[in-house]
Amino acid sequence: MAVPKRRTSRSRRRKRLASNSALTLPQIQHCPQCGEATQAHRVCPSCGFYKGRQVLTVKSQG
Amino acid sequence: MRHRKRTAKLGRTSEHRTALLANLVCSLIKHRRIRTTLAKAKAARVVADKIVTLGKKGQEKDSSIQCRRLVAARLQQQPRHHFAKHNGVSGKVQRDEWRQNEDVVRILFEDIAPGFAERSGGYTRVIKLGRRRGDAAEMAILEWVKDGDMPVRESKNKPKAKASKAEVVTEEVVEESTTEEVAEEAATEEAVEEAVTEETTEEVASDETETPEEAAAEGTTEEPEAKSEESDDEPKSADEKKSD
Repeated sequence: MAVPKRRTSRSRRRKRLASNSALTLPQIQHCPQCGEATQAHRVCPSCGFYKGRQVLTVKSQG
Repeated sequence: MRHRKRTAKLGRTSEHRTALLANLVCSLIKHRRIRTTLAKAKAARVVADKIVTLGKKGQEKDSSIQCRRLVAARLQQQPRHHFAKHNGVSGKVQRDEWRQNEDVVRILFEDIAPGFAERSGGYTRVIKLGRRRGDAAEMAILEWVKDGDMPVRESKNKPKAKASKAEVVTEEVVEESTTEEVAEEAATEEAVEEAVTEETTEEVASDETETPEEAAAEGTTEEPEAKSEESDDEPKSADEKKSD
């Protein structure tokens, strides 16, 4: 059976892990209603609007 | 062969799954909109559409009884005939209340299905809500589609009407923070400029509840800190937040 001849160096291992298991942050957009940062295709968590419609009522903050 | 016949399993046995979907659709019929996980919403959508189709078929006199029985069977509803007097409320009153609020077959056939006479399929809508705190499950709203209740997207820069919040977006993400937000900030003097960081949900301090006091305190004591403003959980789940 084929067996690795060399132990994977720290550098190689880190390079691999850095690219192959990197986490990505979600993309942020801004609510056209209130300007708050939101995720695309989701109801704005701060004002409850989605596609120009009040989808849910958010407890007011002040 | 069962090739490419995909069914959402939802991690349940078939009996458990059928019961769950029946319950979800019953709730949808009773309450008109339900909030659940995205996976369950998408699975329930399939059942709901088929139930509405049956409801539309049952609008004709000769197939009515059969369709009603089919719906009752699919939704695992038992017919209820006996209403005993309870706590001074007569059985007749209880029966009327049950028929009005709980009898999903009646609600479907009399209230919901007739409204979809013009629509051929696609009776429900799934709206994504973002991730739930606790298990980071994507949440969604499942609701009936009604004509005209989802207008087309309006222009991006219209002034904000509803938002009662004072916190506005920051400098480091300028491309969207336009003039009316600046004006609003000036207007509301407790407007706290907070650096809304790019990292959204899971990294934010878990004990942070979004109350005005805290928001104000943050603004006064120290300068921008990662705020859970844009985190996806919604205020309804306050108890879930505390459990973290």
